[in-house]
Formats: sequence, structure tokens, C-alpha cells
Amino acid sequence: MTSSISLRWPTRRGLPPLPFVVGIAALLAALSFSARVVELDLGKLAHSFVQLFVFAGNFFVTPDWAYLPDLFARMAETVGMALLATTIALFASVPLAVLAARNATPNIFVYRVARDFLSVVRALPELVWALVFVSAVGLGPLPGVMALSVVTIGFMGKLFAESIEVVDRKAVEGVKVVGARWFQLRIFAMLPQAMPDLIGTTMYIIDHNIRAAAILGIVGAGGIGFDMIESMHLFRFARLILITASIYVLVSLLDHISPWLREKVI
Amino acid sequence: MSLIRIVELNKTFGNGIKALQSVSLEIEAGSFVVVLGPSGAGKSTLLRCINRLEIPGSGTVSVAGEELNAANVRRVRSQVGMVFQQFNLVGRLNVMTNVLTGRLSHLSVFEGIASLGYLFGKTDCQIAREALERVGLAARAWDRADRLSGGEQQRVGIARALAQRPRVMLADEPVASLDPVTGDGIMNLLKEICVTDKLTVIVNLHQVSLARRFADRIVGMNSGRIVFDGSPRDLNSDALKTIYGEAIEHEYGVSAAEHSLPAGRLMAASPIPISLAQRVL
Repeated sequence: MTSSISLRWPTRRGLPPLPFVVGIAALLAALSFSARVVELDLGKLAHSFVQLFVFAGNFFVTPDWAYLPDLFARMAETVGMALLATTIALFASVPLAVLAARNATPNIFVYRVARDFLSVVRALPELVWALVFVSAVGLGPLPGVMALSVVTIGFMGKLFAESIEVVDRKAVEGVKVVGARWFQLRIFAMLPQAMPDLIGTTMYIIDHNIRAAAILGIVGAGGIGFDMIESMHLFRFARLILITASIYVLVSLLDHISPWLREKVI
Repeated sequence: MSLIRIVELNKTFGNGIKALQSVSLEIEAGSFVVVLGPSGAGKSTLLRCINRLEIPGSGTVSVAGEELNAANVRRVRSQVGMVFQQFNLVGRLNVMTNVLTGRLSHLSVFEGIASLGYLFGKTDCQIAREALERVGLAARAWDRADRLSGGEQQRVGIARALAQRPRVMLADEPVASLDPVTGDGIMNLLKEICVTDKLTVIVNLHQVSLARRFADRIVGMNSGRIVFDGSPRDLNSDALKTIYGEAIEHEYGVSAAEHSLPAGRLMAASPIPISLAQRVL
């Protein structure tokens, strides 16, 4: 039987495009380099799967029900931290985003400063900021909220600015042409158009912040984090199972509410 | 004195295209002027120079005796309403808010600050409502602008311009995105506004038939220059060829089938049968 299968890519020579080939080669090179640096050992990886199951077995204990009231209090604190930080960041980010958006900023200098400020603030993870604020104001949820707010401003500011940059210029022109002033142009033409994106971003960030707030307690910045790390160190699986379950329930709840809320608002 | 004086306007775009070459024009108050010409003739650029959406390389534009410059832009714009081919509304806002933006340049300092919270005073709301009633859309005041049909959105655009209580109305290809029947409705509305409110209306069009039916004066442009300036009656086959080039006669011809032409005015004989001319015109 003679059948010649000749397959080709949809390019002039039938070969894959050069940038694509270069990209794949670069990716493979980066992967092999990283694997060596992180000491990736496939044998160890395979063996660790077994360990994972053994460790998971530890969770099959009777939960420490007496811990529940404390758990709820800590979880409430965690959620509260996340919501407060997100709200604070929301108020600060919108004006910052206007300054950091090429089409909305008053001049290029302000634009550069705003953009740089937002990237600097985003550079460090929340945990590091939490350490900084704990040494500044002491333990408790306050430094946690401060740390979360700062980092959230960085992310929200950047994402909002990008949402503002892609609004329909024709609608902006329509409002410009009636003689609107600087602020009016942004309030009537730019922000309303960026609103769906802003809301979507905010919901994503709330989701992220709840999980971030859950670990800030590790450095003493409030929330469930401290209890979690303490239970881990003392191998109190009876508590640990409740803690992990509650975080899971919370995040799932958010996952369910989020699309419904989006639909309502957008 | 004419309401709009354009003197030796020149505009070259970054890619070397000469959009306007030594364009001079004077427009009397209350007239309905149609700027006719092929794509790329410079019609849009000319119109956009009148409210300084485009800044000319050289030459001056004066509106009501005041020469346009960077300082008085907003003041002049408050007197000049503009209607666009793509309507240029803010889709997510409701119709009433879109029309209210027409009032933004007429607010006092306090009202201006209030407007940032989307708050408007009673007079402004009244003016907006009247503008909406004028275009026949009072019933849709609270619908989101992007839920309206094309023709309705264009009428909202006109209401927004009317809310400014302008002296001049500019329309940049206002019916190009609309079907012929809806387009006719819009042109009729613009003409009625011109006659009743005594506004100066300048419309960019590429449809010759609309120009003939509605204009008091037709200004023909080609390659950045004005090549024709006269009444619709003067727009004969030769004039059309000057504006559009030779191809116009083959495509369109000229015929007395146009119901708006007086019976005695049979233009240059055309080889195209009347029924075809009726269809394309």
C-alpha cells in the first residue's frame, strides 16, 4: 500500500513560522535551565507522591469541634481584613489609575510617576509588607490590613489603568466635543466604559485577598494564619482539618457568588 | 458678517497626506450647507477643524467672530454641536445621561462639581427632556443607550447636541451607518432643526441625492480643495465630475427621475436608463 501522508503548516514553505520555532526552543532551554537550578529530580518527585498520601492520611481524625467558635472568629477576621483592604484600595486606586492611564493622565510626567509608584508597590509580596507593618505598628489585624491595602492598590491601580486605556475613543470624543471639562470627561466618558472591567477586577482581587489574608497571620498580622501555622508546627491535625475545610468552603462560596454578582452588575 | 469664517486652512497629516489645501469658506448664519465629496476629500478634516478636533497646520477658523485657539476651545465647543457617523454615545449610560452631557459646558462652578456625582439641576434636566421630546425619544429616556437602534442612537446624538443650545450643528456623515429610510428621517430632522431653530447646519455627505434634496448650499471637495460651491440647482453633471471624477457619470448618470428637481431641468443626456438611475440615486 503506498500512501504518502504529506502534512504541512499553512505557510509559504510548509514549515512552522520562524518566531514560533525560536519561541519553543527558548522555552525548552529555559525549562532545562530551571530544572537544573531547582534540582528537579523526577525520581524524588515520584517517591514524594507516596509521601503525600501518607501525610493526607493524618487528616482522617476526629475534628476538634471545641475549636469551632475560635475558628469562626478568626475566619471572620480574615474576611474582614480582606474586604476592608480591598475597599481602601478601591478608593485609592481609581484616581491613581486615571493618572496612570495614557489616555486619561494630565501629562506624561505624572503618568510615569504613577506607573512607577504602582510597580514599586507591587514588587514585594503581601507577606513581606506585613512583616514591615508588624514591626511598625505591632501585632494584630491592623498591619495585615495595611499590607493588603498597599499591595492591592498596586494591582488594582495597574489593572484599572489598563481598563481605562482601552475604552472606546469615539465615545470619549463625543463627550469632549460638547465642551466638557477635564474631570467631566473622565467621569462621563471614560470611567463608565471601564466599569465592567473594574468590577470584574475587584471581584478577582477580593478572591485573591481572602487567600492572602489567610496566610498573613504567619507573621502575626491577624487572621487565621497564625492558628494555621501553629497547628502545623504542633501537628494538631484535628484543628488543621477544620481550618483547611473552612478556607475551602469560603473560597468555594465566593466562586459561586462571583458569576451571579457579575451578571447582575455588568 | 458670516457666522463661520475659514481662511486659508492647511492640514497635512503625519504620513504626508495633504488633507486640506488652502481651504477658504464663509458660512452664513441659518444656512444648511452640505459638504459633498469622495472618501479622503477632506470633508471630515474640514468639519473637525471647526471645533478644533483637528488643529490646522496653518490658517484660521473663526466662529461668531471669535478666532479659534487653544484657549477658547471649550467656549466655542459649547456653541457648536456635533453629530457623528458612529453616534459616539456612551453606551453604558442611559439616554438621559447622554443627552445631559450636552449641558456640561453650561454649568456654574457648583453645578459643575455636582455633575461629577452625576447630579444635574432642574433647568438642565428640563432642557435635556425637551431635546429628547424634540427628537421623539422621550419614552426611551431611561434605557441604556446601546440598547437603541442605529437611527434612535443618532437621534440621541442630535438631542445631545440640541441640549447645548448651540448656534452651529456639525454632522459628520450622520447617515452613513443607517438604512436609507432611517437616514431620510435623520436628514429631515436636521433640516427641520435648521429651519425652526434658525441653526447653522453643516453636514458631510457622500450621497449626492441627499445633498440635492436638503441643502441650501453645496460645497464640493476633492483632494483637500473646494472644487464646487453653489446651490443644488447648479450641481450638474460637469460639477459632479469635478467633484467625483469621470467615474460618476458611468455609475450614477443624471436624470430628471429625481422628484425634487423642477420638471424643466433635464440635465446632460445620459446613456443610463432612467430606472437604473432611480435605483442608484
